[in-house]
Amino acid sequence: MKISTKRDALFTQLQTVTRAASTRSAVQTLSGVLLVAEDGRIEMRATDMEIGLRVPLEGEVQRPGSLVLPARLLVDVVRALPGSDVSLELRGAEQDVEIRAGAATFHIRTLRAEDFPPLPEVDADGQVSVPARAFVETIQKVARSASRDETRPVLTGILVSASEDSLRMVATDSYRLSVKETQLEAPLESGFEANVPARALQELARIVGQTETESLVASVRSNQVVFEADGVVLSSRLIDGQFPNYRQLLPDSYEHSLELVGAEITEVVRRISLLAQKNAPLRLAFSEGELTVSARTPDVGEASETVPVPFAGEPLEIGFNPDFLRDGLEAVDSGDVALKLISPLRPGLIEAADGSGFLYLLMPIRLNV
Amino acid sequence: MPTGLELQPHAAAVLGAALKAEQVPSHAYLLAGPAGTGKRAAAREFAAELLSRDSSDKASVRARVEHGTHPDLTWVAPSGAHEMLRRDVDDAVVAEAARTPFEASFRVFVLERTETMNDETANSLLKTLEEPPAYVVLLLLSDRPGQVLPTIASRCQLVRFDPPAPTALAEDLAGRGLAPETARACASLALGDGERALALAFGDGPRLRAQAEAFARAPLRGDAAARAWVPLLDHARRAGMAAKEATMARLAEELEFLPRKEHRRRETEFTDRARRAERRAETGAVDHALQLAGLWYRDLICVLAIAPELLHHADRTAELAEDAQGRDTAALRSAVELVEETRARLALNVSYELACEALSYRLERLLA
Repeated sequence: MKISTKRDALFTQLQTVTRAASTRSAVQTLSGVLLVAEDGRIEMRATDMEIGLRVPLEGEVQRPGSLVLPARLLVDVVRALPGSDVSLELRGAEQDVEIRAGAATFHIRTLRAEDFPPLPEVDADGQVSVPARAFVETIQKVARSASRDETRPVLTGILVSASEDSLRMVATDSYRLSVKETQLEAPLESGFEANVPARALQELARIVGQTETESLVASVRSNQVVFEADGVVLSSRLIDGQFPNYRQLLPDSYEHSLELVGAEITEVVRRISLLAQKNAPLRLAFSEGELTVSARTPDVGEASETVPVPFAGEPLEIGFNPDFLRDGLEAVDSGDVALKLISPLRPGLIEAADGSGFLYLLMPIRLNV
Repeated sequence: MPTGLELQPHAAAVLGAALKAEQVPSHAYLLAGPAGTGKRAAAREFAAELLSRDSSDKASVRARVEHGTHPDLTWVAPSGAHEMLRRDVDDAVVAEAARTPFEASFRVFVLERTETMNDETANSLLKTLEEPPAYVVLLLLSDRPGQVLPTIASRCQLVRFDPPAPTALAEDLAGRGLAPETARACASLALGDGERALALAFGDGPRLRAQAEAFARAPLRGDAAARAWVPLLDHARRAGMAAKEATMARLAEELEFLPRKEHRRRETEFTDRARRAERRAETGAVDHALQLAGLWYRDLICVLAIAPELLHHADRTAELAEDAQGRDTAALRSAVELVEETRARLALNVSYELACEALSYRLERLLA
């Protein structure tokens, strides 16, 4: 195999694809990048056996073929290359690759290409084109609520469902639940539903964020999901198992519903959380017309702040995990927040007050005093 | 029928049926039989067949299964010195089983030495084993199916691997140039394990046998003070060192391809693993020697019972006859039990030196 390309293009695409290369697997080949040159096109692939990435590379194919090079080393080498043009050539006899740029020459030993698993092709069947921006924003709203606890694998994913005119993602780690429903401007041709590992979606959001692409093609198969954006193809395993029925978890009605200024309350929570260390809860004490946010860490100190809120009725005091509460408030990011409560031991709900379809249900912490 | 199972009719029948096109395999199999009966090879062959079922490039699937690089084949060996730890299965099996296959229609999980699972590991695996997703096939391997926890065994379909007949094994060894008597002895001492028979017959084998024999005979002569266990333990230490070095060599190979920030974590992990591998190899060697010594006492009982056809050390009849003179069968039986007790204790991280010394003096008191 022999190809020539621009150094910058190679470096950018290499950085993208390397994110999928494995850093932990015992299989050496998977720590590498597969370069495939055929039919005049060049593609780079990497996988860690969970997600797979295929990234196109502009350049000229002088001799078709494929080879695997160690990813980290290649990134370091390409970053340091002089000049603007690079050529890569496989030297069959020496089992290595010659990289030339300017007056510099590198010889790098290849890894076993036979061990590289095939990555799924993008096929025309069952494809759904979704607006890229809406998709990525939806991911970013809910991704933090996905569980990292591998002993309950079903919660490590984000349930993605697309119906004709809306896109919905749900994530929960059993302490909090995020739901974001995005109305689509143009209706989709068909829908799908899949529990996709949160990591795959976060990588997708990162990749799409770097491009200007307007639409994203998704296709869900029995065992895999494949996304394509701007020529980059990301595939991932799916998560099997029954995702919790989130509708059942959302209470039917609430005792109190308060509209708060999002930015203000987020700031207060951030500040006071500084003294909610070592698993100490953040206390929200509501009384007629005001809310006192307070926290106390034994042996460290305490903090409190009172803000006016439109609260009416019997006083109520409820405790939350400060990080989880902040995550929810930050996910609303701009505009007003609707905070809905029932009682100190029932979950509270944070909702975007502008009706943009974001819900964040949060379990309280039982307060002892 | 998967190839290589010509001598294993039961395994061929069960696994062969599952591999027929359009057949859905059972969710879990327990491949049970003595070491050296081809369980690993059969598991690999089964995985290769199953994973290449819908593949357009069957040769590539097969090659990657052989290399252990197929994304839908997970191979788990116990990482503890003597047991399978919970962390061996938590990520690799329990969490992974919930993820759909990467390229095939199935995911195959192979768990070696299932009998070494402790209760905690077994409990963490139970739910996966009981109702795994439709694409999961678990292959549990065990040399000692009697020791597999009943909660595990009852959730698997049993696949029996029969030991080769000692006569067939002996013929095989004789065919490799071993004297017929010695071949018979090695085949019989291996207790159905073909690989062990080979190891006993060639290389270090004869020396190990001699060491074990010396260890068994010393207490009979009232000569425990001769410290016959010392050469045995030297041998075990060498086996341990070899295992440790093999693990560290693998680390060196891996580090070449890992980013520097991963190095430290890997190094700690491998040092840990090497220590366990060393302990495992040492225990294995000591255990083997004690097993041979135990069989010596058992053989003496056979001599007293005039059942020469049952002897394991078949090439040492003169020595056995000499040792058996005037012995008490009950005492010999207690001696066998003492040896077995010590073997069972090896897994508890005892000091080999003390264990062997204590055993030797106890035997002397019992027998001399």
